[in-house]
Amino acid sequence: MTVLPITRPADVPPLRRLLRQPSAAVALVVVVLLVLMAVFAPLLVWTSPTEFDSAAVDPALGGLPRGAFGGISAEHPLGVEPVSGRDVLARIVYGARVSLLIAVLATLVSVVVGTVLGLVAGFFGGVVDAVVGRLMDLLMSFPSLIFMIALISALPEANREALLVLVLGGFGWPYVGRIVRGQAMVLARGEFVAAARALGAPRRALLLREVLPNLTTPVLVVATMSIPGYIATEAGLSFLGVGVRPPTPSWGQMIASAVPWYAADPAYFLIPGGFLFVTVLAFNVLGDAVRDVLDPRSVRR
Amino acid sequence: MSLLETTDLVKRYPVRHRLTRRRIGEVSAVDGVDLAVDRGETLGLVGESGCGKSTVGRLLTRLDTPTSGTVRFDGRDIGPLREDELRPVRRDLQIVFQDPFSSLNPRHTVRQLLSAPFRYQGLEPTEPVEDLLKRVGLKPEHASRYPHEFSGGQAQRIGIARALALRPRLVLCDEPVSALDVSVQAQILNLLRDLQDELGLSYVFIAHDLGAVRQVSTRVAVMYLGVVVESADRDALFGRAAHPYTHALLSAVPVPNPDVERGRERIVLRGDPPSPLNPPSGCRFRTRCPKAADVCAVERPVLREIAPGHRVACHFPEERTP
Repeated sequence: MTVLPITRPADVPPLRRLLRQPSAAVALVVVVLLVLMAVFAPLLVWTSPTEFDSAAVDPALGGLPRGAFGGISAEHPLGVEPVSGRDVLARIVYGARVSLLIAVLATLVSVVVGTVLGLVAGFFGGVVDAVVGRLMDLLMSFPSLIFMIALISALPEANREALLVLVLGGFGWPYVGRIVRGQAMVLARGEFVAAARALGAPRRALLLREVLPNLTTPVLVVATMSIPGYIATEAGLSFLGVGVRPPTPSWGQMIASAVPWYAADPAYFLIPGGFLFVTVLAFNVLGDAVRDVLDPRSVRR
Repeated sequence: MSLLETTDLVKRYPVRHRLTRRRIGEVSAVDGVDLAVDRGETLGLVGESGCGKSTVGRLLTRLDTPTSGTVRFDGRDIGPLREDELRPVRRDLQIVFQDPFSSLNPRHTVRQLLSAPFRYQGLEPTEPVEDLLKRVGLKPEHASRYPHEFSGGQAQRIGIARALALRPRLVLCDEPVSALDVSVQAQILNLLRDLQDELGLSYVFIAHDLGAVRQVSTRVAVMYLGVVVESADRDALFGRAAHPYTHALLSAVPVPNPDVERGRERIVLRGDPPSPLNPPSGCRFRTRCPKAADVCAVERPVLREIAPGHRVACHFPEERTP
């Protein structure tokens, strides 16, 4: 007896199927470039994001950058910050580091907590499920943004970056947990779990060897889709002054400080705004594409 | 003494109110089942969907815990055992499932699937994966593949190889061929029979396909709504059935000869089986039985022997050749 090779969608490597969609391919390129930019920030720009350059601004005009479009020049390719003269490109590049790191770590926290609690709730059901389920309902119905603002302002001495990761992850895990719980519930009643039980598998093996490997797809999908949300929330919190603390650069902070200058120096507003827009869009498109590729039930035509 | 024996096996599932979770009733899935399987024998368990045959299977293999009654395996009641006490028993008591694909973890390779029995039992593998594959008619090089790369029949062979890895004494086959193409069904049935001869296995063979049951069984038990209505040696059951439900089942099997088919009597049962939430009083089959009389509503018929090894639960048994 021979096994004939049957080519079905599942046999084509997922990455290749992803790249077949032009929008996903572009989004992936943008995301990869952003990540490279963040990782190799010190190699890309020689100017420090916190270095003042009083020669680039005109004190006679209230600190407006000298030159057109926010002071774009060979020395400052994306112009400078009004008043201080700090290099915008350097601040964008280093700001990407902060934004992406916080978003990725917050995703990691929410995925780990959400997967563990969702798996346990779905597999065991009963009281465990009731407790985890109510906790998820509570967190999801909580006015989380207001709570984050209050909590972060109440702890002025804390490490803001770490606090942001914990708060974002802490409010984000129920979205992972809910999906994992549903899947784990179905899988736990599946025949291959019954087969493993009939072989005498201990409970730990049922959870970790039988059920968990079947959760990688949904978890990967929610994780990819949650990154842009975290980037936007971090920018929002920084914009409101409770995110990353100056002088550490952050896109949200830059947008906030550009608001009073929007008429006199629109480039200073548009550049970080544009980067934030493109980043969130690229991650969203990529997240959708990953879901379409990995989850055949949500195919859109 | 039989290898596997059940006495008055009962399984009821509570039905709870959706909001208050209070018990508002129960489903009586299995209601007093006595079965016995001897060494090297195949017991066929037949009945329509929902008659409780699969629940009996889950109780025999202790995937579920009986509400009352005993399941004796090799003389020992395994009903009340805890999971850690059951583990060594499970080496002797394995299962082949109906749907080969849903019973094989899609994320595991064949090698992982076939070494899992030893791993879960905490044993050193006594048989290489390649040998297990050869025994069920697959090739050693299939070991690195995933279940979705196989056909249904091949996947079921993997399921059988896994069930046999620990050298069990009894294998429960829960509708092992009903998800497969007819041409493949015969191959799998032949494989099961060859393995029985080679390894001295006993089978409990659950099916609704009487043809398959006739092919593999030495004894047959017929279930209806949670009870065994008739049990006999294969030839006695297919030749001289005595319960009206068995008569109806046998008459529903098509005969591959148009002349015979046209001339023979068909007993068509009216309606659906009653709900196991609220089973009929007395005989459970009386609501659809052509012979039902007053006594059937009052008195529950017990299984009694009408010929050596032939037991029927009916007030009006009548041996008939189909």
